[in-house]
Amino acid sequence: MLTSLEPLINGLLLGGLYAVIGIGLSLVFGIMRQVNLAHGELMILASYLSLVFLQLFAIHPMMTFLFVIPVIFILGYLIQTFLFNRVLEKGMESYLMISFGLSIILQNLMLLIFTPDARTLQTSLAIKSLNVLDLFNVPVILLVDFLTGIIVLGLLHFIMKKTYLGWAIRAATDDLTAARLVGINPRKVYALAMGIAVITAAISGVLVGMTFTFYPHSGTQYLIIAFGVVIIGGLGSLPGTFLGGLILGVSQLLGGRIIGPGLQLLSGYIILLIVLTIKPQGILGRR
Amino acid sequence: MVILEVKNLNVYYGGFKALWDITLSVERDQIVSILGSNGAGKSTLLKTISGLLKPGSGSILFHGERIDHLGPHDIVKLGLTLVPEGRKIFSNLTVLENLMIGSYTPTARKSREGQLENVFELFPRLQERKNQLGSTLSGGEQQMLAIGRALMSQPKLIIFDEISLGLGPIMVKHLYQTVNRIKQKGMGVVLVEQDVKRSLKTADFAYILQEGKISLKGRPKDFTEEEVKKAYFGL
Amino acid sequence: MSSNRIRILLVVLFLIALGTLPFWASRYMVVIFLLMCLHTALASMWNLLAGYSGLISLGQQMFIGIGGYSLAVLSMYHGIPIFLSVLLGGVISLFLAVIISVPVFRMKGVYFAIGTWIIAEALGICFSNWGYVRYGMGLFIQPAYKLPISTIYYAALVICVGSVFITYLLLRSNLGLALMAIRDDDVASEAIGVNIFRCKFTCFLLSAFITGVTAGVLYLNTIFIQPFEAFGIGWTVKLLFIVIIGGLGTVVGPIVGSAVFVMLQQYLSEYVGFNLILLGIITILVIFFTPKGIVGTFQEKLGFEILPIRRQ
Repeated sequence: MLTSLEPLINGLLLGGLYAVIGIGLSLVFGIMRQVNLAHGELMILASYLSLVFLQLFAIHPMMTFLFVIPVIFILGYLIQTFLFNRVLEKGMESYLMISFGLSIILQNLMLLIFTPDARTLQTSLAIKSLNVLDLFNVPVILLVDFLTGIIVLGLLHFIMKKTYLGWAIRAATDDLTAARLVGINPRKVYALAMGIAVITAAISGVLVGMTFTFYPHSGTQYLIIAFGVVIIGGLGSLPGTFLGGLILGVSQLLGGRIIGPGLQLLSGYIILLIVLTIKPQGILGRR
Repeated sequence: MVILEVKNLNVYYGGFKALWDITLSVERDQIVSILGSNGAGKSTLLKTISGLLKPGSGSILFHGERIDHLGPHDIVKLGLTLVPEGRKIFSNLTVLENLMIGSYTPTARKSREGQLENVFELFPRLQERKNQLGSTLSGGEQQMLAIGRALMSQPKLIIFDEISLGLGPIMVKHLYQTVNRIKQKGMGVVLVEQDVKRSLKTADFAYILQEGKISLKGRPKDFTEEEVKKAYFGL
Repeated sequence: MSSNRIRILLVVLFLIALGTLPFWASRYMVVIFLLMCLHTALASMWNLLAGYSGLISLGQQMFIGIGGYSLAVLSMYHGIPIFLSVLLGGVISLFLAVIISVPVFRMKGVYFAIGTWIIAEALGICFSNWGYVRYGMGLFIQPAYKLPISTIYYAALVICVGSVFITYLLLRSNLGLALMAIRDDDVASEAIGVNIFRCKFTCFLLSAFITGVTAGVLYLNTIFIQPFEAFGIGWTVKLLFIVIIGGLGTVVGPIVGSAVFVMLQQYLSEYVGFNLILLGIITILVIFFTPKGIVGTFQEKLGFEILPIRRQ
């Protein structure tokens, strides 16, 4: 029993990171009913950008946030304005296919520029770990991931509850026509929602880079994690997304401990498929 | 003073011509009623005025400026607000948040505290329930919320689409009293209703639509019952 | 001559040319056409799902992987004759489709897309960790070494013609009418008695079978199979490109799209990595400017359908 404590705790901590990965997708899906299939690639792009800035300036990986976030934000804004806004009225398939095309382009660009080698953002945080009560070890980086997750979700919660932007996003998610009738411009609010989503992708990308090794093709598995978080936790619910992250994190690490590390992703996928089958709207979802 | 003018409006909807050569006007401090049976075109007319639909031809002027090419969010900024049919309040926002988002436009935001007080004065029930989710309100309360939300946008003209639908007589009476108070505050009001009697009693001017055309217009007190029936049903 | 007669004549001439290809064309050309045929079959099936049944699947590669591995395992480990193994690959894919249809048909729209993708990824992980198929290192399909290229070509041709023909017949049948009704308005079509589930299910199973068989022949040509590539999303990328370029929802679209794709791939084969980027860019541009693809736009402008589905 005690041997499962470590993957359990670490899974929960990892879940905090997963929640950040998923919240961006959840936001866009809630308001536009679209899934940006390039979400994972945007994350990994942030990881690579962080690497670039690390090599340009000798700074701590955590400082790269300052550079990476604006770059990715601008990229996301451009993508929304020039790619996605053009197919707003054309239905779900166009958006899906364009975001798919975009993900392929980004993936292969990164492959070309950065080669297929494994990379990681070296930091002492990843090596150090906390020894808790002599029962288990908690890598410090996971604590950082979890804390960042809490901060990001807390910030988002504040925005959603107390600012015009947040109310506008929630209103447009709820009833787009009524939202237009109170003066909300759909294109503007889509772009802003996309901007927030992309910022969370950037943050989680840098954290992922510090926590794991990454490759140009890593985007796929994180997209699936993001989707998993949204599905399990339920759409449109911040606490739900957090819960989804925790469940996915635990099932992955615990499952990995039980059926073997090579099959770690598999246990997460299985949980996801089960939830998709039984309750596609998610555990706490409304849609 | 005329604030809204619709001139020779022709609108197509779902492949059919829904409105034929519609001309009407609304002045400030005036309640204008638009009546008609189901399918007469009332809803299409309101959607076009508020910007959700674009007309095939004709023009809509608000304070002398053309608005028929604008989207709803720009029209609200100019001071024309629609209270849509079926209320369409935001069920996942609280009462207070619904009202807050009503003051989304830049001009409305500045005076939101004052407007909020006005709304709570008109509808004390909303103040009681201000932290409750929209979905938990009763039909009548939702209608009050929809009106309150529209008021928050500081409109100069407010359009009510079927506010009495599905509500009991006491609530309807209260709502119409509110409509009168709104007119007295200096706004123009357009009332679209199926309840012919009550809306003709309240209105200063009325238009009756039949199959997309205006079949009767004038001051309601000048109408005979025969005229109204014929204009409404076409018998 | 009436337009129908012209059509039939063109098709027959085309088929004669293709049927005699190995006798007058170079080996290189035979391989090119082989690839075109196989990609046409795969794309036709993806098109059947996405363009006609409204099922956008990002997981068709699961049947490619299963088909390929069935061929490898059955022919090498169990000594089953090659073409029987290929056929059995299709059957096993069919079974897989039946099994996963239970959960997957409960998922709608984007959930279906990602659900199918996850299953394919999951299968890829399983095969990568399975000693029986030598983990991620992959298998060399020994029995395929000695096959002459013309044999593989004819197999591919048969599959290609067969799948296009089956799709064409299907769409002209009652099932086809039902599918188009569903595509136009699925609530209304259900109201008049169309069994949506059965229609989509049939298409799903058919596409699984043909994809599995096609994959078998594909791997007869490539001879080497690896889980990462066989179950990889790359397949869907290529199919997406082919169908979008050729024209979603047309019968001839996959044919044209495959031709374009195979040529492009040959032309760009020197620039590894670039070709996929270019593919992605072209796909996006096509969706923006000519969303109906080459064939779709052609058919729209000229009002002429090469293989018409609607009864006349």
